[in-house]
Amino acid sequence: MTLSNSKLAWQVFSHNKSAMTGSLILLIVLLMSLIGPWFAPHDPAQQFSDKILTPPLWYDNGDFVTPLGTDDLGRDMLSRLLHGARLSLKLTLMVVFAAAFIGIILGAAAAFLNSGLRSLLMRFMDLLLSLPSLLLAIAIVAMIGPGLPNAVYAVVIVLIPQFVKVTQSAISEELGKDYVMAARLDGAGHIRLLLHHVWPNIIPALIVQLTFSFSTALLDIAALGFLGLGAQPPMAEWGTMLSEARAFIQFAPWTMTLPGLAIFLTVLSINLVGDGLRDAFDPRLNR
Amino acid sequence: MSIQTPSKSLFLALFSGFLCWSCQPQDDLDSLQQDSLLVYCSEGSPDSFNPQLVSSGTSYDATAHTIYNQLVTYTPGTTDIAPSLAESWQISDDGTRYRFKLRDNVRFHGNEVFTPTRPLNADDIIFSFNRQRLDDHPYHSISGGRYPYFYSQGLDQLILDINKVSDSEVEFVLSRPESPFLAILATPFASILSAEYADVLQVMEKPEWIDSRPIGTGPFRLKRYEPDSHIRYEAFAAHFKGSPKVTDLVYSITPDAAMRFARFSAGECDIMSNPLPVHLRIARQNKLTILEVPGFNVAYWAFNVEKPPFHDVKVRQALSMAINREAILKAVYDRQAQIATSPIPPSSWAYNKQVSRVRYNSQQAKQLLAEAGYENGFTIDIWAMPIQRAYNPNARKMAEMMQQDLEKIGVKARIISYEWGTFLARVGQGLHHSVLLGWNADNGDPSNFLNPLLSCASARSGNNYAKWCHPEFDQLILKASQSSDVDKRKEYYLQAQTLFKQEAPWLTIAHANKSLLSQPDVSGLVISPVGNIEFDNVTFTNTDDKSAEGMD
Amino acid sequence: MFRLLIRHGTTLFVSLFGLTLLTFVLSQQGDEALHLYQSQHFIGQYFEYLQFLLAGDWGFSSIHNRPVLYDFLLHFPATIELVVLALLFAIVFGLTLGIMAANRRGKWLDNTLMGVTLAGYSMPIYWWGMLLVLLFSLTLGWTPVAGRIDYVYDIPPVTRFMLIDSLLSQGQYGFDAFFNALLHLILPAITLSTIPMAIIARMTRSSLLGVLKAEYIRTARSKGLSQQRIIWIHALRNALIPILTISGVQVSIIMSGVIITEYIFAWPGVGKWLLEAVSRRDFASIQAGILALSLLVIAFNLALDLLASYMNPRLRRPS
Repeated sequence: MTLSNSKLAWQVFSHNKSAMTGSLILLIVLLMSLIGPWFAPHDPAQQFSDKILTPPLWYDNGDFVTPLGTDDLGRDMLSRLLHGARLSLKLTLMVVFAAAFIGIILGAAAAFLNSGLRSLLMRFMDLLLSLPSLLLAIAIVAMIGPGLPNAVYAVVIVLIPQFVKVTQSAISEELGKDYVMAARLDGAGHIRLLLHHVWPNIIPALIVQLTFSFSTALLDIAALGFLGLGAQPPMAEWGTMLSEARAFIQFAPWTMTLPGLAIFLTVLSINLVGDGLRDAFDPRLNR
Repeated sequence: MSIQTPSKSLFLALFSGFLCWSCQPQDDLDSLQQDSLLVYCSEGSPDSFNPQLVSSGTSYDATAHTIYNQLVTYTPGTTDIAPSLAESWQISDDGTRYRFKLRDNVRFHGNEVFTPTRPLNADDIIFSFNRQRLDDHPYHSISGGRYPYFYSQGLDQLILDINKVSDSEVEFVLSRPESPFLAILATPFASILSAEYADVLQVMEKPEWIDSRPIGTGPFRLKRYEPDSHIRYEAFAAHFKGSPKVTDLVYSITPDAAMRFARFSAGECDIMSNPLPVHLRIARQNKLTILEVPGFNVAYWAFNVEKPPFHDVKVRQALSMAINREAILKAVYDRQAQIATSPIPPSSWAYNKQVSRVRYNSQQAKQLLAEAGYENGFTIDIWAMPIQRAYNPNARKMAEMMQQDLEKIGVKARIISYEWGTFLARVGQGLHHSVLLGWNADNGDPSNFLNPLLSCASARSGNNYAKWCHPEFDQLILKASQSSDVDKRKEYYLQAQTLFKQEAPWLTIAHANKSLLSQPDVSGLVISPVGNIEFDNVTFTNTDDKSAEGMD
Repeated sequence: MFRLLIRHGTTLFVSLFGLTLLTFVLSQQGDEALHLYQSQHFIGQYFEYLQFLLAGDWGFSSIHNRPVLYDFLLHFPATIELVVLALLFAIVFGLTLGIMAANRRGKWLDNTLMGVTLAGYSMPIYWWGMLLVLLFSLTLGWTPVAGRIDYVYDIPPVTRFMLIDSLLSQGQYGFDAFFNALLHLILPAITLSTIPMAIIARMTRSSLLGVLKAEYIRTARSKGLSQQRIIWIHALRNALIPILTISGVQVSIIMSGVIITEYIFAWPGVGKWLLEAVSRRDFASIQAGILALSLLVIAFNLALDLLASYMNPRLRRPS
């Protein structure tokens, strides 16, 4: 990716209103997860037994001490959401980078493997890709047991194949191009070829893939928490909070709507950014 | 049960207008609203349709008082013994012989493969008990051959013989006087099955059907069971007490309390089992009918005394003192319970008022731990039962609160949970440090709390999850259950409770009220103090204003 | 054509091998062995496992005391019913929305629809389902909260597809039971169809817009054909091919979604059964459930690949 290319991409991106809105929301969520916990009015695990299921401010009997209300143990929703933001984003980042790291290495290796091995590896990736992601995650969690770390491993495994595929196909495409041929004739080895010539050109594709993996990872981690297979209470994880709120949705809807809204807005903003990035990097797809 | 709401008729009208012309007019659907279909949202699937084989309240609820009857029963709402299949009985002077006179002309149900040719007689009684009692009985090993209640109560030792005096008379011979024996015969495991059906099945070589396609004498006949979905019963018109008032009874199996309450508030069930405290609070605000009885139950935190550091009584006392039960009562039970000072509830005649309550005191607890040599604390696990029961609506929440309390005295706690069956199996193997469990008594006798939960026999194989075997205590409760003198029995139980308190194998947490939610048009529902739900007298009183049922 | 078959053959082979290996490992997790194996070592046992599978012996659940295949078949129809209806929703509404958006490209309607579909695409359906229940079932009382049919209707299970069984007992209840069953399906199906619907709508739009730029459409337009006619007769047919090829992904998404949906609505299908098996550590059921669902997805993908290459001759050429 040359300088002029990235400049061009930024120009396209910055003129994309929805992408910029998404970036803004995402920035706010990131900021919340970084500094939010310091601003949280209470400890997320602290139980105010005299304030059980206090509604948020905008209800008649809302309360300034707990502006977004409390849950059924009297824990402050705002504090839990803020801590949840940090936890959820931290987990998502970890998962995506781990998957990207493994996936890119495998994909790069696949691009240089002989065709038999490559097709075997890629067929296996196809299999993992074709299986429903949650089903695969459940299989993995069933094997190693429920709980947050295991759910994280499961989601990493679910995400790897996409990175392998994107990397492999991007590299293969680049390898066929003339400039690579020229470099090869100059006597460049595999590694050199990869790092100096191919790599800069596949970065856009990887960034787009990375962005979409964020939304998948966030949704899947929360889904496992919701199903009781991921983070366990009393952890302030958004999906787990949602699942705890099920017992009284009509009585205390805020315990359900707020964590869900947090997940939804974050995923939405990531997808907006992802769409924007794809359009920016690939003008052919520009609508 | 009404399914008619304005929007549904709108929907139906739209669709029927759209797709078919010959549909029945709306009025016909109203005639279908048999007000005699009763839907009960229950908390789980029964493990078997034979209560002899199981030990879960859910299975008992689905069988013992619907499909079956026992020799004796309780007068509704009390713990007084009343006649049922037995019309009358005599007890020998030494208290070891019980002779029952059976009611005439009690009919059994029939099904696709079986039509009863005779009414109930002594053979059915003998079959029902001998199947559990005798290892060489042809039916003993069918469906697993385990009879948890029968053996954990030591009935194999207690019952020496059962004699057929005549077709309508049967005599139990006991090895020793056992004062709670009648109360025991009123419990689910003593349900009477058909010996004639057993013979038919044996010829068909399908003996296991006796437990999966049950035949009993009870007010309801099993019509259909869809695993994990629902159980459908129909009224048994030939029941000896007369046909139940409703014609159809459905147990809608809804293990998730949140879902159960949602279905109840949407009018999809008439009666809801085990509401959470938060649901009771909503129900009270919305003037729904709550059926509530002070429960014959106890929730407890058992320390596995076989696992260090719980072999040390000081540690057990310290940990007991560290827990703020007031807060638990408020957050977990929403005050629908009282703090338990003894395993036996205060409403029992054997309750020891002298036993003092353990006071919540973190400082003192810490001190005690230091005395025991654990000033730096330790890590334990708390196994929290994964399902909700009346005696413990949310063990998980309870464990979380205890986690916080324990942290104050430097003890780290991990919360562990499995699916219920697995959970019980693993706790039974003694894999836990400590466990949050509870007990719902199935008869009104104090022995029903102490013997199955704290005796040495039950520590070896049974429900004594503290694995606590104290010879002196064991002697006391043994003597108490053999004596027929109420005053003496009371004395033994008082001593036993004092001893229990000193040794602290459990922290007794609460006695919860047993509650059900029912729609306003349901009447005649009875919960006995021991928690049995009886549907035979339920009727619907016509409330025209059905729409008022729902809540916002 | 021959090379195509070879390619599909190897894909299928690798898939089946990988999948059965996974479920074999899963089946080894429980406390007791799934089958009685003759062989002592892993590879031998794996081949015996395959033989058992082929013979229809998928294991025995010690928790339910039944063969797991029986349990699977007991729960499967409920899932299929839900999935088929959701797919129907997703395709019908997805295509309609996509066409509407393409028709009004860049206009207010297009922007709104694209916003809505992006929201649908980003939706955590476990939250969405709860919102729908809160609104339609608990607040408005229009739809039932859970279950497959009201208990007023005593429907004997024949096919275990409630829509069919309720029609079979039409003599007793007329069509009321059928509509009642349909009413019970609506919220779960909407929840489940949300994401695929959004994807199909977006795909349809972009694919249609791509086709509309093509030469032959311009020719058609210059011949004076109306926009509607062009879209419906000429463009849509070609735009459908890429949509068809992503249907495999859709099925995979739906299969993930159905697990969550069944959990939210207490729908007695395979997903709920599988989740319960996980919490009970009932590995016999887990491996059977995962194997069966995955086989279904693989078979569907294969059929789709074949269909796509049949419809689009360009794909038949070896690449």
